[in-house]
Amino acid sequence: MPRWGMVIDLDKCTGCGACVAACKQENNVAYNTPEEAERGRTLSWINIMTEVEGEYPHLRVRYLPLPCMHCDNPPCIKVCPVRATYKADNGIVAQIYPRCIGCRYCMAACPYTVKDFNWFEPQWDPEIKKTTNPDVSLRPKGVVEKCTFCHHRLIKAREQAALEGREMLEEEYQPACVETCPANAMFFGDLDDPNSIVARLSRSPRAFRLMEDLGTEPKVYYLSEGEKII
Amino acid sequence: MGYDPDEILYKPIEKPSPVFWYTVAGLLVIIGWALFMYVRQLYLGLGVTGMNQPVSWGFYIVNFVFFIGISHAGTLISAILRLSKAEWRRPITRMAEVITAIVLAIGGLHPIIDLGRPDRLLNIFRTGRLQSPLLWDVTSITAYFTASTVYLYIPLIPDIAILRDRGAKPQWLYKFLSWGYQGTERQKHVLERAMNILMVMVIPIAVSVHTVISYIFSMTLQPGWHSTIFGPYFVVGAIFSGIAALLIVMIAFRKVFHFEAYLKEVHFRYLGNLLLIMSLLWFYFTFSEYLTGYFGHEPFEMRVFFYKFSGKYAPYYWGMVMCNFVIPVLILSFKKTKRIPGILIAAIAVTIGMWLERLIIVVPSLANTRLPYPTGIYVPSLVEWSLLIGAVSVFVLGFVLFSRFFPLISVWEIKEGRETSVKEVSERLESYLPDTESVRY
Amino acid sequence: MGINRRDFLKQGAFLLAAASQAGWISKAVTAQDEPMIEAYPGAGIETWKCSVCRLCPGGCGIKVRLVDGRPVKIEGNPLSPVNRGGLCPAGHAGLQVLFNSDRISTPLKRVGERGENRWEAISWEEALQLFYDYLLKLRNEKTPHHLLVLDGESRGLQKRLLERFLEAYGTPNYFNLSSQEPSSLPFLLMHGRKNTPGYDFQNTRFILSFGNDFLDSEGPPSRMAYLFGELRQNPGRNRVKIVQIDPRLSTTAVKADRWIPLNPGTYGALALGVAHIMVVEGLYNKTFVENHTFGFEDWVDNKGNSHIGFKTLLLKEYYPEKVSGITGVPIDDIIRVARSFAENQPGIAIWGRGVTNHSNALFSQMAIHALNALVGSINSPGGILEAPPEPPTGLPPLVQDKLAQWGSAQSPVFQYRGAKLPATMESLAYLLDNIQSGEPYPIEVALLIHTNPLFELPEKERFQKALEKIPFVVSFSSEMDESSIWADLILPDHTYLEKWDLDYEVPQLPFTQVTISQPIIQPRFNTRHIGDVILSCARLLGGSVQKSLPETDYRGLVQKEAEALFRSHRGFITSGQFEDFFQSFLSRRGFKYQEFATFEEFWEALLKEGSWLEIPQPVSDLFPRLSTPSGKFEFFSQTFYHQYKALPHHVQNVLKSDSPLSMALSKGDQAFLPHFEEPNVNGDSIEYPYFLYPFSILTLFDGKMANRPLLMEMVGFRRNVQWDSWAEINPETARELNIRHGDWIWIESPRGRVKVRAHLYPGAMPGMVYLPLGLGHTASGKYASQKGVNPNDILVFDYDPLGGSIARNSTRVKIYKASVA
Repeated sequence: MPRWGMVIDLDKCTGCGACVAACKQENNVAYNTPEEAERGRTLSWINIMTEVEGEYPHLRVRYLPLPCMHCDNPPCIKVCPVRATYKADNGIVAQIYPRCIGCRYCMAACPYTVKDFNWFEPQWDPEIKKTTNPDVSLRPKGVVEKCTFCHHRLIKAREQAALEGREMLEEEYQPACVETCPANAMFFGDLDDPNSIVARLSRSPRAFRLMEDLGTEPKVYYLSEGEKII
Repeated sequence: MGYDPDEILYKPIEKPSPVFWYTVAGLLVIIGWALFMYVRQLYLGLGVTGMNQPVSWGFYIVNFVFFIGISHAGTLISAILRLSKAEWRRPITRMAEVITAIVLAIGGLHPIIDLGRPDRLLNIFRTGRLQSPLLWDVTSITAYFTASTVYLYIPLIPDIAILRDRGAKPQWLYKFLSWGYQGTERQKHVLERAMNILMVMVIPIAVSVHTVISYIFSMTLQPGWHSTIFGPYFVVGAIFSGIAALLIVMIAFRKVFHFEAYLKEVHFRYLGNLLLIMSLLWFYFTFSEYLTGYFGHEPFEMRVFFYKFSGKYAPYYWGMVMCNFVIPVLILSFKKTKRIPGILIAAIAVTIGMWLERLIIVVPSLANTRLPYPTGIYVPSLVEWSLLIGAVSVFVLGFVLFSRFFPLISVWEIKEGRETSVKEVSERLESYLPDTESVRY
Repeated sequence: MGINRRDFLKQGAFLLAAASQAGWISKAVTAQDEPMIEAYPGAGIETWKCSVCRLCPGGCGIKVRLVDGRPVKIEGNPLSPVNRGGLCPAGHAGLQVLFNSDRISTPLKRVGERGENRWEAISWEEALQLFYDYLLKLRNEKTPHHLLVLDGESRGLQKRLLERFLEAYGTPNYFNLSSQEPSSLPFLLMHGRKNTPGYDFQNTRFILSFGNDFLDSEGPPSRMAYLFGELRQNPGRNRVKIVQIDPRLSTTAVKADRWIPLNPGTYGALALGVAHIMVVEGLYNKTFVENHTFGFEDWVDNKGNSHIGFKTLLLKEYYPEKVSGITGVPIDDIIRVARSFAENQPGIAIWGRGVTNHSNALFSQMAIHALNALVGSINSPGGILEAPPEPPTGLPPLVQDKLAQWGSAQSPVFQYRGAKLPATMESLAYLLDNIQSGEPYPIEVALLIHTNPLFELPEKERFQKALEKIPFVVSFSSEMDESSIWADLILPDHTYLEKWDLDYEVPQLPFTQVTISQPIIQPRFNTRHIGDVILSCARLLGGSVQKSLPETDYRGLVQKEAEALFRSHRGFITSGQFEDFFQSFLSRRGFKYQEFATFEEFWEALLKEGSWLEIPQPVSDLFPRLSTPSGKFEFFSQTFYHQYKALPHHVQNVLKSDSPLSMALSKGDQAFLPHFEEPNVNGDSIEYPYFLYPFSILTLFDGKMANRPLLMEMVGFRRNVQWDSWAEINPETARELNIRHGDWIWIESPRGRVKVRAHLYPGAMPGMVYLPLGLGHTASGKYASQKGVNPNDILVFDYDPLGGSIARNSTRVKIYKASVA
């Protein structure tokens, strides 16, 4: 069983936000009204974090794309009272929307703040609703949603391979963010396959994970930026 | 039946004043409003509250913890006092137990109010995950609610029997609830046995309830929550707020129903002492909690710490310290101020302070995420305020209704005290003293 | 009694059991997880179609995923040589362009007053007749040059068609309003090239960027991101160094190795200061400068007049202390930049809108471009390359009748009157003045093609007044934007996902590529391709116009052009594993391409794969002769000098004494050399102590994308702002003004004021305030309008008198707290 994981090269990442837009379009993440956005209720399965340190003109600013970490030891699944969020065998931390009771405990427990809640019933413009992806269900109000590593793409790739009577190739399954990244800063694959690109990059000296000290064992690795001296 | 010295205790039941109806009507209006707001929330979604990302928990969880905390007033105090045979407990226990029962029901409903999909509530039985502290809560609160309602009911039976015999209306109610209690020796014996068993049982359950509630927070990795002393800290806070709530209720009903003869200055002084002790204990826990956090100076911990100490939540934080420590300690340390008005002020302060403490525990840790998100803002909406006021109204209504049908002071225990305890206590007291016979020069 | 109780309990138990048997309890306990949505009705058959993204000039190849014929996702086309599979956030919002409830669904004729936004839906026949009548009228009145076209988007074949049509019709007035278009004037003046050259970022080792936010809103965004990734982390090469010189900590500045903030508008001075150090320290490419440049040393012209050289000017005027004083950049940094630029060769010095947004734009650009010559990065790998050849065309030769010849020869209405300097002194400012005054001739018909000047331009009243002078205004917009409201007739164009087209002319590419645009779905509304409108007008006009454009429909034209590609036997269709293909192609450096026996096969392949690519011959060691008068790179622009000298004396005098050029010309030879000109600043420095710095953002570009909720929700995603504008202010400056993060503030210029929320950001220079462009629509659809503020509302209309660009960064403002939010 593969263990799917992601590597994000921060040296390549320009913080352009393509991953954010691609994710929203792929996963039917509902957009919110300006009033709701103002109250901090924007739904987004992947965000670009901006970290600003220092003072003008000696600044260090970093952009950090932040999807769900798909921890191997996820703090969110342990607290879910109804098993609506769980870790699948292939390492993907998933959410069962029809089961979620909306207690938001998983959101409170997630140290990465990557879970979103549907505070209202999503309001789709009837025109824009026509462009929703049939592979991904629309969420109702009152449930928590999150990044699934575009799990539906895995299913699709697997079925395609089965149809053609062959093994699925690792490259056939890429989440929307990885596929679209204009800087090719994101990589995806099987961390357990020592020769996969992600496994190799995860062993890079530049590789680190967010809040490793919490013991959550994230499956999203980052590669730090290079030396910046002129 | 001749003259009953405790006639005044039946008065609210047998001759309810019109004020009762006004009060009930007023409270029903408020509760109706809150209900309307809740139905609106059900219909529209939790968006009507002020919660957001990352402050995904707000008033509902705060109130949940707060009300469950208050519930410790009762049963725990009455059980401890009964167990330790503190004779001054007699006029107090009933009220304490009523508080527990009502407040537990209110508190227990709050997580359901907080659910995004209450229609799927039963999923916790269908697909429940025992690892989740929320499920532990469901278990322990249910147990506590069962135990404490039984614990309220059992000592109530003789009183109901008295009311039945006095012909109080509605007769069917008293007939049904008295379970044919006639006050025979066997019945008395069974009653006492039952009370003794419950008394012992209810204490660990009560302790477990608030410990488990604290686990909701401390089991996560969040800064400001992930703390080992949260269990006892919450229990101490719960008892603290419970005593305060009990004092408020006692003072209020003493005034309304003219129970001055029963609830004497001394009861308040004793409970005041207890409150003072709890205040100091609370301060000790708070101090340990925050000092260890500060001393370690872990950056995420510090963000939350300073958010409370000098940031947005500083008014609430220092307000809490004021209400929970400074005011009660100042008032209760001096004989001059340790009178009923002073105690009332202290008790109200503590109730507010403990509510603030729950707020300060829940919101700042959520608002200050580990990652550089902007700090969350939480402004409770009208719905949340309405439901808070509604919850308080339900509490008052529950009490008022209880007082309409059942005596707020345990009549039979008072009688028992009057008839048998004086002798019993003096015997007991004598048994404490050194045996005169063995003193030989 | 006991029985009663027992009965009660029994009844209770029964009731409970009954409840659990029926209704919601049993359902919730026993049922499976309730289904979310009804099962998807269709068969779920997936298809992909290749096309091109037209939301910015980037020209990214895209492929659209359709499920049962319904488009659900846009991806980058991995076979596109431009973006190689990546796609910027705006590109993903394309489906919200196609599916949008604010689209104009049919031709509209104005019924109310202009600007009243009252319309009558008319048929295409009627609309075309109306349009054609005006076109015919101008021709009949022998004034075809009274037709003006303002184009904000067209490129590739559509632009070729429009240009062809206007030439055959007889008007020189084709003005490109796209503010995304980089100015190519410095290239014309310094090495005789009319169009933007190719930038060989692939092979460069150093990018010295002057105000070019290439990782955000400038340049083809997906391409630049791709290149950035390649340049930063690629096992096969060294990590490229990037220095960003910018008064704002832009995205590029964040990602650069070094950010050097400088006083706004002083880029030219800094570039010259860097050049000074390079010359003094001997860090420049002496061989190149000696052999391939003109005007570096002092020189004597054939009349015996001596002229100063670039070197003399540098040494005399741009010593570090002075430059540091002008720019506010520490001397240390100037030296460091000069040295590292010289050390890390090949390198490129580029400029962007930060530079062109000032009134001294042209001279600043020349100064920056001079750095490229100093290090010899002209026509050399890793530097600036010859512009790639245009793709071949299948159009018949242009036929112009007398009238058309005469009309086309008229001086364009957007040129400074009286001074006919070819290619220079063309500006929107002159256009507006000339329309306003009706001199040298009035404009009678104006076509607005995917442009929204009433939103994008400062002092929109000026444009509005000019529009009022034009009797007939036609808009081709597919959404009711601010400018279309003022039109008389709206001929709604398809959206780009419903269009046939061939796209090329992506700026700065070092190769030629053609990407096919094909309809993803049939047009959803009663709209019509602008190309078809033009072709039918050509047919109706007949004569030479029709002869120049004999095609009857645009799709046929596209096919014909594609056929010309096929017949040219140049280039190849990218296919298969592109990366491998590309590399093996390069390694062989040959002209191996897929052979197609017939055009049909070629066409099928083009539709399937999307792109056609031609890699130019590798740069030869032999430096080619440039098309400047000297044949070399000219520090001293003889092109400009000769143009100026060719003017009659009295015109020269007018230009010298009373024109926007007086200042530069008064400096003698300097006017033709890269030099620093003080930028115009509008607003009194005491009353308006702060500088307003508007900037473009990737998500909205210049506001065309504002009606896409997907993008509005992430409009300021790096600053965590949604659906609104934000004013970046340095925390120090904010403290002086007693402004806290999130406060509502007024930003007031001599032109007006806007209310916006303050966003404290240490990346802001003290004394500056930064506002994003693209928000603050008053029309353009429900998601766009009334969100945020439009900085153009308070900008003073200023411009570069020579280069023509609009100087958006020249307005001073004051800032104060808004009393009530």
